[in-house]
Amino acid sequence: MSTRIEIEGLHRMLAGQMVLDNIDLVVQPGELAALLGPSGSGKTTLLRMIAGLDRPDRGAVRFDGEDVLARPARERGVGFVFQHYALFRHMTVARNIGFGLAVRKVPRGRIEEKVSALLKLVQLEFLGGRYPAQLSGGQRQRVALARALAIEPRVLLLDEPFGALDAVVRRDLRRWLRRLHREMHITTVFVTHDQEEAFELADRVVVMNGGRIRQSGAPMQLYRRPVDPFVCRFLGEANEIPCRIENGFVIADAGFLLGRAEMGTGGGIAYVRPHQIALRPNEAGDWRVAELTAGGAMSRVGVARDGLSLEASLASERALALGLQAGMGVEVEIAGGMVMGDAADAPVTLLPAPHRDRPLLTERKIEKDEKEEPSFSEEKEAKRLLSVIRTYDSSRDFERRDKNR
Amino acid sequence: MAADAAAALAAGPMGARLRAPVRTRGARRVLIFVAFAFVTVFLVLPLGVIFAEAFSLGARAYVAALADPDVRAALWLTAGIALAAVPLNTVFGLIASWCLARFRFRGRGAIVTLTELPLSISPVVAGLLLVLLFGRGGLLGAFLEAHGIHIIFAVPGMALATIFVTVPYVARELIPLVEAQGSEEEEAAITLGASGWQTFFRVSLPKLRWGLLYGVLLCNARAIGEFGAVSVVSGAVPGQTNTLPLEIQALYDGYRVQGAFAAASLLAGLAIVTLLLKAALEWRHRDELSAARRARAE
Repeated sequence: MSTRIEIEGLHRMLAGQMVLDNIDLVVQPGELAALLGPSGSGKTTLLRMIAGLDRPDRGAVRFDGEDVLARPARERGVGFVFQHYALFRHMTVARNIGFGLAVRKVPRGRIEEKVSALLKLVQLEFLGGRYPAQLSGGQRQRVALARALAIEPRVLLLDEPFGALDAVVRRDLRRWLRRLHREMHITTVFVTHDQEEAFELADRVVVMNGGRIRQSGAPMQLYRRPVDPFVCRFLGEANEIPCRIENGFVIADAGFLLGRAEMGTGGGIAYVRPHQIALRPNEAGDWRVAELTAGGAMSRVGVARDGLSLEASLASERALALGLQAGMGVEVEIAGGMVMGDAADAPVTLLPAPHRDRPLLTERKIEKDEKEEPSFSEEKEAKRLLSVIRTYDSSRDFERRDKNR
Repeated sequence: MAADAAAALAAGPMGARLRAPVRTRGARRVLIFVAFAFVTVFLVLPLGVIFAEAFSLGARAYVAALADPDVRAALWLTAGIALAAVPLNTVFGLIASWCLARFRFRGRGAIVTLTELPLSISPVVAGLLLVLLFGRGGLLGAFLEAHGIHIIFAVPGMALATIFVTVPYVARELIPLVEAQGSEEEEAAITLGASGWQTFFRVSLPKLRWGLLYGVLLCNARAIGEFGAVSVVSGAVPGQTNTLPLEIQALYDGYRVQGAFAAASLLAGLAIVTLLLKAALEWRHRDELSAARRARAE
């Protein structure tokens, strides 16, 4: 019942500038997809082309296999919600919602029925007689949505639907829209520049930049496995640490071990999100807390060692429990991340380095290995790994640490 | 300064607080008086004189003066010319504002500037331009004469002169308004399935209605009252090519003062009605107008 949107090879030049460059995209029936990107990335142009408000130079847009480019916007059956709602200011809320039916010459009784059902759906039962100017931003947004839904559109398109609202209203509306979509199951595409919004709402996030689709996938997949530095940076803050991959180890250029990698060799940059950095107070640690910003739920901690500073974030409760304070010594453990660059063709996952609390193999086992001849090559390998760790990262000197305790 | 300080001290703490308002109150009174005096001398008195003179020989003479065939002919001609000029300029204003707000093209600025030209050019010059264009020795004069078309010193010329002079009024009101309102509402209407005409009549026109009405009102007032440009191209034949303002002039020149003022009272009455309508409109739709003004100022 829901419509499938297929976009193929969409191109658009405007004033010598490539606005859309060979866009291929399929939105599955009933899917809720987000076009995410900075301003000027072409996301709104793409949305307008699906609606028929803009024309591509070449390419195809199909609804359920049927080419709709030849059809004018008024015949495409799309519900479009504009960024600033574009409500008809001289009409009441009820007439706004009924507009699409009125121009189709639907009998008045039918229109009234439908309008009151939609008013109920968007929880504005008692505001049908008001004018748009008399409504709050969130209410206008819902009227715009009801108006778009009135024509029973094949696809629903929303341009920056929450951009003009304040934070609390935005969050409520987002959840409400998510519920609504789950109930109606209409194929929906919305444009946003807010990654949090995209992640919370969408089944699929399409990251755009410079008129191209950089990556498209489930929110978690994008977040965990960005295909390039742009996507990685756009989806959230990341520490960028120059490094190289050697013998399965990721070593920061500043001279310490970041973690392991299962492939690649050579230089690159490790992208580590603030929450992927764990801190442990230890006066003998190589890192110092340079800065501590206690926000609401999350605290940000700037840590530094010679020539390198990183930003970590952790739950404020946890920061309090650890007793973190500016100037104190800490150990830093990188729990994850991505390495991109010359080291490998595709981004490589950064795995945590072996650690005493979560060792690759237990130390006891290694001690045992030292007495007896290692019988497994695996154990031999483990020993080699540990020696490498000791060379590259003095902070992994377990004995010294234990004495300090 | 010293006196002020002394007064403040004498008045005590209360006086210190009241001092500034007391001083501005005096200035306020003077300014308000000046404003009223100015309006009275230059606006209310002349208006009063018009009606006083019109009724100086009694109500019967007033009615008789208006019943004069030449005056009635002038009234009809004025109405006819306004009926030609106002709708034409309204349509032009709508088209101009539409394409100026929607499209960026070469010569766009020229159109905006040119629509304002009649405001800065003397109406007499405007009339002369028409004579030079359509008159006997004018550019198109020979062609028109060969085909027996009379424009100058005839009604068509007067209509053209009026149209020329009233070009700016609707366009100037609408261009900034359309630009400020953008085209999202129209796009919304189209995605909802409205045709071009439905979009125009149900969305574009209603959202401009107050600005449009305001522009039409101003345009109409100017069309009815235009003297300079029309007088240049008019044949000045009473009962045939005299509009109301020209007829008033003719009556006055013919020493029929009361008749002239009776006719003038019609124009004055129209002006007052226009003014009241304009005030009502401005009040009713002050938000939209101020948005348009801001847009124009930028």
